[in-house]
Amino acid sequence: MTKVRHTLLWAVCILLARVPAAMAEPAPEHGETDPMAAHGAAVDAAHADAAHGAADAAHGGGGVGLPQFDPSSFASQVFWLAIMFVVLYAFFSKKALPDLGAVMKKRDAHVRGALESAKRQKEVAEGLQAEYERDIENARLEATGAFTAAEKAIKEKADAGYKAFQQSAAKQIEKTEAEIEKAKAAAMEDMHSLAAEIASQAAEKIIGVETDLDQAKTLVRSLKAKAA
Amino acid sequence: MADPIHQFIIEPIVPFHVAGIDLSYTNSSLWMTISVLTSVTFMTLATWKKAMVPGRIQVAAEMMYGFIANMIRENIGSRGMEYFPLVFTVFMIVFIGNMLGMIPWSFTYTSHLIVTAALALMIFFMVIIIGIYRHGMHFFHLFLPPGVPAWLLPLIIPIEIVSFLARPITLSVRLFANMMAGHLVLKVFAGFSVAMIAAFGTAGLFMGIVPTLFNVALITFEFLIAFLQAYVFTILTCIYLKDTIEIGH
Repeated sequence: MTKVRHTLLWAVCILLARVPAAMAEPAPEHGETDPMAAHGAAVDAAHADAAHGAADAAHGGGGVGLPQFDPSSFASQVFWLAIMFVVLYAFFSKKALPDLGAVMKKRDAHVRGALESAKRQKEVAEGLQAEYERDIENARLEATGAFTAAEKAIKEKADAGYKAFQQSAAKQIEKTEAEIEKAKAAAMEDMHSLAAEIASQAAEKIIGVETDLDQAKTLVRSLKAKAA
Repeated sequence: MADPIHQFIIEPIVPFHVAGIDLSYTNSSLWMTISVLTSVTFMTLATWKKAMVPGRIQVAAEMMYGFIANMIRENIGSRGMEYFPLVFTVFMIVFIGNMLGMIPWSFTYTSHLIVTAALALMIFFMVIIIGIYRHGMHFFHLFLPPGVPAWLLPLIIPIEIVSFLARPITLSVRLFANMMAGHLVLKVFAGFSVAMIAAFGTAGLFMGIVPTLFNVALITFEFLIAFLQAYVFTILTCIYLKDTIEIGH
């Protein structure tokens, strides 16, 4: 890159030496005659300019083109550079850099501390979560157990109730059937008596004989038995 | 027409001589002073609050701190941190000097060979003195690369010595030449625009835009060079200082 820059620099310098001539009045004091008038004047002026620049620089001291190679200013530059360097070095080494370094170190420690405490807290939190999950699991198991037990108890109770009800119902049915049977018998008996009574009254009315009610009842009963 | 060399001329501001030696306070000294004041102000502001959560200036200073510290760690090793203030000072003097040079009408003290040479020679002699003090005669093993067959030594040793002696020259000329060349080119292109107008009038006004636009690109490039050369100067300083810490072979 430096090489390219230098090539460019010199190319431009050569160009430049011609450009100011274009604007400068043709320097008459350099009286070299040139057939190519304009161009010659330009080159002339460029020479004049370059010579002038060199003279300017030379005026400063060593008689060399660039001020960089004029040794008359070397002592002063080195002297002041040394002073500035020492001042800056003292300031940086005693004040600025230790201060800055301390702040950065402190921040580093702070950040590291915060990270560590975060890590610790994360571990605590993870412990708590595990504990919580264990509790939940236990509770779930407990609940399932309780539910199963309750279900069983309810079923047993229901079964017992059902059986008791069945038994009492059977008993009730039996009793009711007996009552019905009894009522039926009583009703039949009533019917027989009524039939005998009606028959004896009819006989009395028709044939005018006093009939024995008990005899009629016996008769009805025997008739009934015969019919059955 | 402005002379592109003019910007490099040393002009005394407060002339004074000590024992016949000219130690005048010049425009170069003035810009060195401005550079030091800039560095000091910047670092003072940066470390003013010593904040845990840094502000902009503090972040910038911390980045520079980290930049130089990393450079030393990578090129010298962690034992090289003893040179941290030195390397930081070298970087700041060169970097701020290069950057201040980008201000119009300023003076670029790093464009003077004597300044860069003084810095380079300081480092050069530091390396020799500290190196010999620490390593004694072993320091001269620097010129004796390991694994070189004996018959090559008469060739290798002079090469190594020459390359060692060339260090301050290349170090100083690289910086000085880059800064001078860059500033010359800028000035030349600027002068080109003006010359166009002067030469061709209204037409030149339009033609003059071309070198101006080119100059805009060059100025950005010069900012890059200003940083890059400070970086190169500093990193080479680190590499040279490494010889005082350990001889590679």
